[in-house]
Amino acid sequence: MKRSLNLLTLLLLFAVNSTALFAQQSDFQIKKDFENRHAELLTNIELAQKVNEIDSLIMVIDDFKSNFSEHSEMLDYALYPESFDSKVANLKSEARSSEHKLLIIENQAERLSELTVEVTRFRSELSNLNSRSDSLRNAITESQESERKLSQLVTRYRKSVEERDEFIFDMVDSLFVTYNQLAPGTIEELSKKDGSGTIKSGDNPLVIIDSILEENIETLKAGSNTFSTEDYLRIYALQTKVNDVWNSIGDNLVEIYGGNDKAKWKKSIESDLKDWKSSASLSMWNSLDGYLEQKNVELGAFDNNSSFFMALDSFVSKASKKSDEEIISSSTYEDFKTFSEFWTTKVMDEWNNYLVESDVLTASQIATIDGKVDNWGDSSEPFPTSLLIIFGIGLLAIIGLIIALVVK
Amino acid sequence: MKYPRISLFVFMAVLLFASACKTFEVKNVNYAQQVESVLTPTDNGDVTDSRYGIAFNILPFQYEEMKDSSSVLVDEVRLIRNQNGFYFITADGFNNVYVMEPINSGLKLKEKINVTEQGLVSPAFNLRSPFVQLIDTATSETFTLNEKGIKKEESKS
Repeated sequence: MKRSLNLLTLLLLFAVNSTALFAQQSDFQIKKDFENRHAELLTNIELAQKVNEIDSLIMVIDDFKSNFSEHSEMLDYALYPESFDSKVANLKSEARSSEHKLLIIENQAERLSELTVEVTRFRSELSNLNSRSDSLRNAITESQESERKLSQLVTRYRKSVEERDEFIFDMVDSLFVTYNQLAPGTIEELSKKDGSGTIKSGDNPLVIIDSILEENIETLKAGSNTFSTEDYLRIYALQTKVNDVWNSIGDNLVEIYGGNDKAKWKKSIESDLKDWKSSASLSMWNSLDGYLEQKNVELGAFDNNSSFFMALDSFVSKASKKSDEEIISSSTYEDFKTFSEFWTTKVMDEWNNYLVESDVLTASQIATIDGKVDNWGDSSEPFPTSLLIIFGIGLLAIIGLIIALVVK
Repeated sequence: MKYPRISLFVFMAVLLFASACKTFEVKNVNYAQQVESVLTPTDNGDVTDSRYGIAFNILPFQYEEMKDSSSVLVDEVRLIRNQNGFYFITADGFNNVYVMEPINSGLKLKEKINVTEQGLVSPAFNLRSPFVQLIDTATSETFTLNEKGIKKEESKS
């Protein structure tokens, strides 16, 4: 409102002054006045914060042009190598460019405002999910119930954590899509708007992300006896996703919402992400190793994506080669059945999404191993007993026939 | 004696022809500067107009005007050139406009035009070809000048 009044005053002053100004004035003074007003208008364009301010300024520029147009010839000469028209065109171009930028910012601010509402909803939903998981975890810890009831509690707890993780997946996706669409160059302006304290701390996405990280670190610490390998894979995939999204939009979020503590926010979240990553990674690899050991699949040592693939690849290749060398006997067939069950039910089905999302195994690595498993299956399958009997009978018949012919 | 006269005549004719061949002139050159130059003197009185390429010292003008060249007493020097190539120079506090003709490495006074006895408070030149208009913006007095003097004095507007 105050700015609009200022603009109106500027417009009136300009209209009044410009008629009196040229009554008895030197050309030099007119040129100087033109330059001063041009600079003044440029500054006002730069300082404008709303599209309607720019619209008013465009009207002022039109007046400015008509008031000086009678001196355009003299100004063309005096302003050389620029000209009266080029100076006015420059003003209009700056105004249009500023208007375009402000339109984008207003649009982005609107989008951010909608997102803030969404973030509030996320916060409340996440809080419900967290408290449900926490109360179930507490119930497990304090439970004096029978083993059957405890098992039910554990199952509910795991389900609850799974739901929460799925929710975080969706929320992170939503944040990523929205913030990644922010036009380049508007972050600083949005930071001025939203970093100034207009956002309640609870609605600040940085607060939500920080609480997600802390809650997940805590969940990993507390859930070591209740989580399955699938749970750890899901948590690892979630961690990978949050890490990727943070790498893409973290700087923008900190710029917009970090306020005066940008460096502190960045450091805190990145430190928590690092802790979560190492904790999730360690738990997941240990759990996977334990699972395979329990299933009697001796892969050898692995503790990261590439060593896991190498171990799988080497295991299947060696087993397949061993099967190829056995012609009649099929001692590796049992090994194949054990591995095949793990491979088809876990890797290809239940864990597949998490394995791929977290890059534990890429889709092409899975396809490579799958091909080798198929070959292993073909080569390890034992020769059918019925065929052996038929083959024996046939052999005996031929021998009998030969003996009969010789005797005859 | 008859032949020496013919020789002299031929010699003179050749000389005239040769000198005519050496002179190359372009007429109707417009030297006019559309907008005056407002120059701020340095501590020792030098003024430089970088756009129109002229530099001189204001102290001789100041001495002519105020009989004092010990220090610079003017704030701004006003300078404009008319279409005939004469420079019109004045400054705040001056009573006169100096019409100067460019000469080899110098400016030669063509006319000293007295415009006031009270001293110009805020003088400014405008080119109004073929004349130069002098305004004292403080008093709104205007004078129409050319290199010969005041063409026509106008009343206060």
